[in-house]
Amino acid sequence: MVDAALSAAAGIFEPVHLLLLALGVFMGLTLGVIPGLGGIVGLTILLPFVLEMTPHAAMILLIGMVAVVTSSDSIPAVLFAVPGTVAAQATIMDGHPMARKGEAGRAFGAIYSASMIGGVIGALILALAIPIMQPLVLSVGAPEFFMLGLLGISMVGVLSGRFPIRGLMAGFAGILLSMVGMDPQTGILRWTFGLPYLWDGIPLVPAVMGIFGLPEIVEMAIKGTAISEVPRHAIRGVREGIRDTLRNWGLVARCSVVGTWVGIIPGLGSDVADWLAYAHTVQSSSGRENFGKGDVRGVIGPESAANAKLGGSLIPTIAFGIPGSMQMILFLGAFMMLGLTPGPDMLTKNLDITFTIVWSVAVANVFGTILLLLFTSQLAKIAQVRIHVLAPVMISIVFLAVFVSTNDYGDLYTLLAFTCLGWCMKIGNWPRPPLVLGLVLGPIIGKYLFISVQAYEAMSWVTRPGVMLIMLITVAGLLYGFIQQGRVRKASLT
Amino acid sequence: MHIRGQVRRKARLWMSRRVVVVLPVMLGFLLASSAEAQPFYQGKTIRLIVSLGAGGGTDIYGRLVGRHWGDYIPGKPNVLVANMPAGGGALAFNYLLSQAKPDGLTIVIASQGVLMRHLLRLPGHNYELRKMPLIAASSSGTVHFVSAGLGVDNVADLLKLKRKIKVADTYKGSTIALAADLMFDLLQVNFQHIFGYSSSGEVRLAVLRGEAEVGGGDGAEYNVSIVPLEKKGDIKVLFQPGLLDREGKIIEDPLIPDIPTAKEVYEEVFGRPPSGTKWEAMRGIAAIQTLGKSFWAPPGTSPERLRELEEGYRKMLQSQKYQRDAVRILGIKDPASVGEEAKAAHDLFLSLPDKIVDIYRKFSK
Repeated sequence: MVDAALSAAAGIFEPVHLLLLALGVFMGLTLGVIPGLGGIVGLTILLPFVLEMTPHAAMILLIGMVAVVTSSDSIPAVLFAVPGTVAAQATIMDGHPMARKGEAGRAFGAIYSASMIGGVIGALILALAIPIMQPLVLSVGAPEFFMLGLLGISMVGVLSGRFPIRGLMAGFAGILLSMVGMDPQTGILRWTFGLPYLWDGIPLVPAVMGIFGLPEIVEMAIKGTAISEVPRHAIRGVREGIRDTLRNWGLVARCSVVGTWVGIIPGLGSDVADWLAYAHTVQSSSGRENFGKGDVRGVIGPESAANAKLGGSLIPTIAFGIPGSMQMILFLGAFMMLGLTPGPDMLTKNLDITFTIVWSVAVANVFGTILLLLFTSQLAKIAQVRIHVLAPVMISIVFLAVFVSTNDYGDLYTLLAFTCLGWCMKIGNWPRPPLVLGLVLGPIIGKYLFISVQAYEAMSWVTRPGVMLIMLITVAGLLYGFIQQGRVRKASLT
Repeated sequence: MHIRGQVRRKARLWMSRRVVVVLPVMLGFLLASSAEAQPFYQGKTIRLIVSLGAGGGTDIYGRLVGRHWGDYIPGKPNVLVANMPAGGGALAFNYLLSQAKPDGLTIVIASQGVLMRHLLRLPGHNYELRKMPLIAASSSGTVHFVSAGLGVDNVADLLKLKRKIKVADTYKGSTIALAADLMFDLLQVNFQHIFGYSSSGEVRLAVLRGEAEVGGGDGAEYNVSIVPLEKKGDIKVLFQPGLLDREGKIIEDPLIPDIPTAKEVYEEVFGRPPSGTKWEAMRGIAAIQTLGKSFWAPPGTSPERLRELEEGYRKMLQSQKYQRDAVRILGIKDPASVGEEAKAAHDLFLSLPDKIVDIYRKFSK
């Protein structure tokens, strides 16, 4: 196995392959920065070209592109509170306030280094998982997915900041909203009001852009300043951000593991990785007051997780051909086009291709980060541009982004509706992350609960080891949260 | 002066006679050659609209066809693929009916799911499909397998298991779920249908895990994902609903060879050919699967355009270049039928009586 790893590494550094990697990385960075575009668009464009390449070259190009999308998607998130892809949502929470305080450079430094390390850790876990890939995926079933969904929901309290009750209500509202659409169990259409548009439920991209992106732009336009409310000379640098990441290496490691796990589980999207990591960050950090106001740890956690997710989602894809996300579906398409069969072959006969994939994830992350760092000082300057120039551009881009992949006017209405909702929640001080979390996790919880109850004898699935483990983690997290709150209250009383 | 006048008169005469003869002949040539040199599709773009989301099976197929079809249509038009996934096909078809011009430049691809939703007249799916010409259809048969842990070798063995078996599927009312429902109902197998899995891949995993005992997949993934599992001994492939041939008889899907069809299984178990409304409903499923991924044009599209499109599709199917691409992308050669070849399935689909549709509805609720 080691020699396969080494030969794959040597393979990447061949000039042609390096060129392909660079091309992929460049494309991925561009796609990540533009809201609404992402890995899927890139894969759709690159797929036909893959036909003419060797499997090694193709994997290097495709992975190079996909691996860095979650690095650059935080740029618009920090500057405009508009996520480049849904994987950058949680980054907005602290990233954007940092930009307002004039610390955009620091945010970027922290984000890029955290992304890079997260991505590399994801690749490492992927490599380590190779011998146990098949049994690993087989041992995680519907009951475990359900429990993980519950774990996610338990984080709602953490994400509610100072308003736990409102957070809980927002979370439930999110779950309610997620019920819209066709129920797979019964075929019944819920709350679609006779509109075919709502069959698949409320689409996530316009909802997220509406809840997080536009309200921030609106607020900035009302205030009439530039994004950064602090004059130019107060902008802190990128190096400070990198130092922050290195200082919080434990957080980076933990969140990378979280991200990888979310990737392994089919159906949990990259936005879930983001939020879970953010919640974990808040939960596990001393001194929580600054979260939501520009605490650099609030960007480090989610960004590590988002990049680590790729490594995780490749595991079921390579081991079983089970795609965990839209991106992986297209990846599988590429596999087939190259004549590669997911499964045992990839871990034996084609082990070198698997290792090429692993190395590509790692090297692409490093390469992408270097590129981003080179351009960061220019990017931070955007925070100085007058909002009256930026706002129309950003608003147009958001609307276009939402429309471009579905050609559906309904998405624009959804965007508007959620913008109004997001705005009202913002000025009313109702926490928004729990709503999004509910929206995303609701279907997972419902689906897997039903499957668990039907497929296993009544409640016997509850005593599965995996389920119990996750339940323990959930309870531990909740308890820890309560204890922390208690300590904070005691401290403020004395 | 006198001579100049004479020359002028002669020149004028000369000119007028020549003009009268030559001009129309020149014009005639001009018109004839422009008619030949300008096929309708020259310089034009065909919009191929995929009625489902990007990245799914229908989308991948549509993009594959989109890359080649133009080369085989006279005039070599550009083919642009776009997605209109809203409403599970409702948006795309309503668009085709009400807004697309019948000029041969807009075509919609539907999947089996879309056809089923139309059959059930779900909200938004009230469009008149029978008015829309069918250009081509790439069949998409399905196949059903059991986990090896059950210890059965064929469907007859399945009947001997007296207990309830767990059948896993993606969502209630999908053609593959309906095929299982109808088949097991016809054979009087005791079963429980579990829905909610995100994809056929997850269904396979569930069967491998032991979470479920019966699962299904489609012809496109048969060779790549299902046969290897059977070779390893993890699953046993039991039956396929089958497809309809030109005469309306049930045949094996060429992509799923050597697996008994529903008809054969029934005959083996009960000793006589199947009949009755539920069986007709099963044949309806076979028809829908034969239509598989289907290409439709707006009503009123001229027969000439339809002919050019169909001929182009036929030539594309016969080309090595296309089939090589198909094998790479889909894992299999494209088994599509063009125009009249899919007539039996098309007719059966359009003529399914209400009581059969009610059966589908019953199994979808």
